[in-house]
Amino acid sequence: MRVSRCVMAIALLAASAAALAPAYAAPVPADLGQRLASGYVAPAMQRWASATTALTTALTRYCPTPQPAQASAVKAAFGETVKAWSGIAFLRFGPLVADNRYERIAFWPDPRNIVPRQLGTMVRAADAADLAPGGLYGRSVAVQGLPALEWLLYGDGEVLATPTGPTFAAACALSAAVAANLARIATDLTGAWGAEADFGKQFRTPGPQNNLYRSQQEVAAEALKALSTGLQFARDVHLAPVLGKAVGEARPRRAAFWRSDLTTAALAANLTAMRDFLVAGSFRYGADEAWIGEQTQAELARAANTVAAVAHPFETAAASDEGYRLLTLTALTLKNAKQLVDQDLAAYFGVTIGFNALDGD
Amino acid sequence: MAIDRRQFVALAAMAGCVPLTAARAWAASETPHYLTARQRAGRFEAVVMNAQGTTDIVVPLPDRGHSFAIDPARGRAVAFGRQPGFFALAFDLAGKQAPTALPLPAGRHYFGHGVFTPDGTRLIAAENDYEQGRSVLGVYDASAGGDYRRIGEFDGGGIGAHEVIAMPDGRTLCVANGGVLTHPDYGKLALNEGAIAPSLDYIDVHSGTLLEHVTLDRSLGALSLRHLGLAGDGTLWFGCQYNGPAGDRPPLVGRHRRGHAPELFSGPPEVLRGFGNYIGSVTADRSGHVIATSSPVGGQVVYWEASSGRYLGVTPLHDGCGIAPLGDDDFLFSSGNGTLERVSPARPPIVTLPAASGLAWDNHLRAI
Repeated sequence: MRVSRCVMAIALLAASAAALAPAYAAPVPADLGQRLASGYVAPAMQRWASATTALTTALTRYCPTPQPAQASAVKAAFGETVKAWSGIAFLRFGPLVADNRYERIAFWPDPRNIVPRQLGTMVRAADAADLAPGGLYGRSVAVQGLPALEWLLYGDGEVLATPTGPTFAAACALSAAVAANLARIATDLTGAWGAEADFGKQFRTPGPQNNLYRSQQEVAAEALKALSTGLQFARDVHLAPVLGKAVGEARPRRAAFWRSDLTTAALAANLTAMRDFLVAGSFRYGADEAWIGEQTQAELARAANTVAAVAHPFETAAASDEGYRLLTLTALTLKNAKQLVDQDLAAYFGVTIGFNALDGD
Repeated sequence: MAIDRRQFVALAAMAGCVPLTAARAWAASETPHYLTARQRAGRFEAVVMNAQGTTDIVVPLPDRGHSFAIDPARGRAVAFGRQPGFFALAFDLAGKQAPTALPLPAGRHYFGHGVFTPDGTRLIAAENDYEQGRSVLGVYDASAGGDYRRIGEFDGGGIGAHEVIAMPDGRTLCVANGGVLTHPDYGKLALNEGAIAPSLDYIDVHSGTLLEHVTLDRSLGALSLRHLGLAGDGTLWFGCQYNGPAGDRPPLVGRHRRGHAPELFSGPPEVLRGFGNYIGSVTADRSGHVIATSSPVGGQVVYWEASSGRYLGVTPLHDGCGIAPLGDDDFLFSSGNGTLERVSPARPPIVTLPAASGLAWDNHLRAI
């Protein structure tokens, strides 16, 4: 038996070595950069800016009068901010990587617990310089972003749970300062993606004279690599560490935003955003290839719906049979979606997700 | 489809069906031979092959491979798993013995590179002490009968050790510490983006003493030092990766002499742009006068005059990364599309193996 199986394997290997990759590439839309920037990215950045401003306002009201109504407003605004962030987190190129904005907004994952350690020290120190406008921007990126804010509001900072504690005033003021810092970063991001800003202009209208993008093909490569990397990140960094090897080994606290129970809302928003981004590109397919776009969009929607169906709170749901099943299904769907993007969608438009190029080392 | 006996043996070895003893001994041939990792029909393998991609031995790997420690004098090598790698397989280049797995302790993973000491008594592996976030050099007993027992480890002098090589004096190791903090739970994700701490560290191969710790100018602080090569005169050459804004164009290639400041070379602006802020492999030609630096991200290899740092030329190859000396003044260049090309700054490239679906050469190609 073993011999015949081997002969078959050898025949398959020999056959696959002979087949060459197709040389044909379909044209990308002539206004792809414009469609992606104005149709998806700029509005998404605007939502992020509005959410961080609203969160700052809610915290500014809550700190002096920590009543249930004000607390609810903070929770709602924090939820909107996390969802808005999830709408732009996969755009990890250009303005979001400049000036370490990504790490400032989301210093995560944090396996060495740097965020809690640094914040604990800061709350105890209660340094007024941290609270002044721009004060946090010069501090460690770990204390500037959403994980820091979540720890302050929902974690050991206890800003929402215990508005009477001895550290409440310091922790709440620091929370407001973190939110204001995020709003400042959001202003920088919306500015950089503006139609007349250097980056926004180059992305919208690539050309031979540009430093960054010389053609719509280069814009397509950036966009599809962002999509591919975003899908890999969602599966490998957001889901795999939570899932571990079996349901008994699930580690819900490895998830982003488990403290605020926004894990699944954030992931669903992230996957929906990637679908919307793809739709905004208005890629055109031949009749025989229409399935590529349709299936990719369908898989993204299916993954978003599946993860959104996980019960709350996430911390217990992820370790339950049903929650674990849904998360595993989401991960499998994302694997399929990434294969569609890499092997079918990107290849169809002449973008190669390289064996060595993307998985750098 | 006709398959001759040698192809059958190679394919059978690929399919994991026959012991490696059936393969031809590489040493019998006079043509240059190479060691590289590849993905073929979904499988990960290390192969010994010639410049046309004809394999002599195929070693199945449990996961994606990266680079190798090679001991040509004793006809053996160690294949390392790609970062975060959890395997290293020692095997003999003639394929006569079954591969041996190195004992990796808990709390460590391989970074994909390693080197034998010139006397062949030790194998040094670049490793991550990932809970502490520091690079270490694992020291393994490579002497006869040593069975690659782990003798101990040296401090790697920094964070995120990548390539480690032996300097020509035979007593000194040089480690390129990329400075990027990672944890295997999150793959290669940088956990200290924006605050990376790269360095070149020279370490005494016997005592583990840190002899020299070299950092780049502060203005280049975000340049991650990754890959190393040696010019004919013993000068160290290095290739960097830059994760900052794509519009930035820092120099990516440089050289270093002990006791001096590192020198960096940019080349023409269009060539620098063509790297995509990424160097994946560095090597010298057989003469030692020409350094080649490849970029799979930019899809090109760029040549430099070792004595001056002068730019000599560029050859494009999509997803091309593996680069190794071929003749006296040219190189073999491999790609993720399965291509092998004979390339040089002086002549147009010659394809020695065309692209093939289902075949991808990994980052590093090593001349034996």
